[in-house]
Amino acid sequence: MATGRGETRTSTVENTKMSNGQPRNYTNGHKNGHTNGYKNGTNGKTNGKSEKGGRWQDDFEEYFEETPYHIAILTYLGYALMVFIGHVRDFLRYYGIEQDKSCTESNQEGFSPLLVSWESFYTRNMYRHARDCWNRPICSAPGSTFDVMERVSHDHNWNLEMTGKTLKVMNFGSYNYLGFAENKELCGRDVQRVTEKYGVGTCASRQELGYLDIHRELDSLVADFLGTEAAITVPMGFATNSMNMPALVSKGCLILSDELNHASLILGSRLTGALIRVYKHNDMKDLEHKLRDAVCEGQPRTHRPWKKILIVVEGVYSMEGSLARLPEIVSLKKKYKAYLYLDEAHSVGAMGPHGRGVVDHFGLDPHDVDIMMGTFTKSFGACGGYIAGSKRLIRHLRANSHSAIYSCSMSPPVTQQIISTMSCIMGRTNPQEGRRRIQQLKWNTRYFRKGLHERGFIIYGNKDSPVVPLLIYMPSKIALFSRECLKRGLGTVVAGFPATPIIEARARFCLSASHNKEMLDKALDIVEEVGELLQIKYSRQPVPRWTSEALEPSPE
Amino acid sequence: MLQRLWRHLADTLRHAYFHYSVILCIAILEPAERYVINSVVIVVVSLLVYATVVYMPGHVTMLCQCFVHLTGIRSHGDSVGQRGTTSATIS
Repeated sequence: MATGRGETRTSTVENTKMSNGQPRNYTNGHKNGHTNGYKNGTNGKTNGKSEKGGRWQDDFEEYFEETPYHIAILTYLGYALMVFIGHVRDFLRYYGIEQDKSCTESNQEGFSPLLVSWESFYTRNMYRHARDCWNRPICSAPGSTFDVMERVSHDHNWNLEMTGKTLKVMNFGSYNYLGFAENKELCGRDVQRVTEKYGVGTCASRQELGYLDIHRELDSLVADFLGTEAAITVPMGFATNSMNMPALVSKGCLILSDELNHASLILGSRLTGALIRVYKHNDMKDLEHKLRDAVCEGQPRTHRPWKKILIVVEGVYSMEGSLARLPEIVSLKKKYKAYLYLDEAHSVGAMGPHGRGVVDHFGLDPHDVDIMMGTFTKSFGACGGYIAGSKRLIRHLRANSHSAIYSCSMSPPVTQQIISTMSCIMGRTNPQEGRRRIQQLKWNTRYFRKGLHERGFIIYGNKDSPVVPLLIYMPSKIALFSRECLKRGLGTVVAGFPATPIIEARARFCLSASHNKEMLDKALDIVEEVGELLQIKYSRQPVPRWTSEALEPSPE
Repeated sequence: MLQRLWRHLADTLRHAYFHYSVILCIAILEPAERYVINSVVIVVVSLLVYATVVYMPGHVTMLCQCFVHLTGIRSHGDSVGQRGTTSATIS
């Protein structure tokens, strides 16, 4: 607690020093945004908040148990063996001893081959063995349960065939955090009405004739919801990052990116043409070190000051289940006059007492974050994304962003779905429902995490994050875990290399407000059973402290 | 009784084989690959066992003799009259 206050105090002192000592950087900051406009006010607030920040740190518990040595060795051994066998098989295929069933190209003289890379080797010889665990087709709404279409393979996973049967399983894989991915209840009627009125497609971009009144309504609703001045909505979540970032920073700017940022942020950062420096995941010392270097040394070779410095972070990291240490990032950003781009794809709706994301969770002022980005694909059960911030920022984006100029505007039924769900969360329609869902999700998260911790699994992430990664490590266990869980009626997502580091393959559960206690108990039993079978209860650490606190009864 | 013991043994063996195949990742491989790897493992393990059985006793004896030679030069003279065992002499 004391440290937190101390840090903030230093940052205030540094603030004044910096603004006197480096006027050029200061002017730049002033030119491009509103941070300085809020400076005095926010500093005052920060001092107030820092006391709350102490309480925040008490409640901020994340777990990343280290990989046990013997497991790491055995995992490497397993991969090594698979690679060896893969090479032998490739050798046999090359000399025609074995028929090659993979994607191959005709041997054109003088052309360098397209498909000779580690990735294609990996796909052909390793991923193929577990291919049935991914790309599973489903044929129902992704609610709390869904229908998975059964597939079989008669040639060792080269080809998969549908049997025509479906399996009804519990859904622990969709990002349906608040349970709005439904086809009947609540939003279905509104969406139907809007579809009858507007049709499904807009057939024009926002700048042409694709800007409907409901888009306008949605924009202002998003701004109201988040507590910002304005917002702009984009029809695709991934494109919200990748297409809007180039409108914000350019060559001569610096992007400081967390090492575990999502692919859309990485792509967006690369498209900007700015220099990208990556800092260690949630490591504030590393971030500060890199920020200080950037401010002191300026651009490489010329040593001119950077035009802008943009810190890019996510609210909830989807593979680790960790939360950005936002209060510290905000104080750093103020100290070094950098801008903050916060991607709340997984956190908006799912985090915070009002469902407004991590900013709400930490009790920060939304004005402290310069660019707030989020998606509607998760908690809102729709698709698309938004960027919220100051009026000037949004006006700039309306005129300059690729997604506003070139892409077709958001489909009206989707827009209505977001309006309905967001009004529900805000308590405008159905006053108790939104709050109930948020509380249910929070309870579910704690209950499920607690259950897994107590059963001795290695679980990553923050105790409040609805993304629950369960570490499995070995490649064969990944495939068997997915298959065995599906067989027992639990649908979940497993992830391995290249989505994770090679020895940190994991299963990932996404909790939802539509799950009830019985479902969670059933899911825990299934995971327990499969965990016993595969022996994946690796944890040697004592169960975290918070799990001993009694949970309130489920708010159903 | 014997039947139950046999079933228990079979269960244990099946369990052990399952874990062996999961750890070596052969649980998800094709049967042919599994066959080849199992054969290689069997060959390597049997060679090791063979080598242990054939060479280990001789090697251990040689080591013991070496040890006796290094430490037992002085104690050899002491033990002449006592007719003690070698191990007692060494200690």
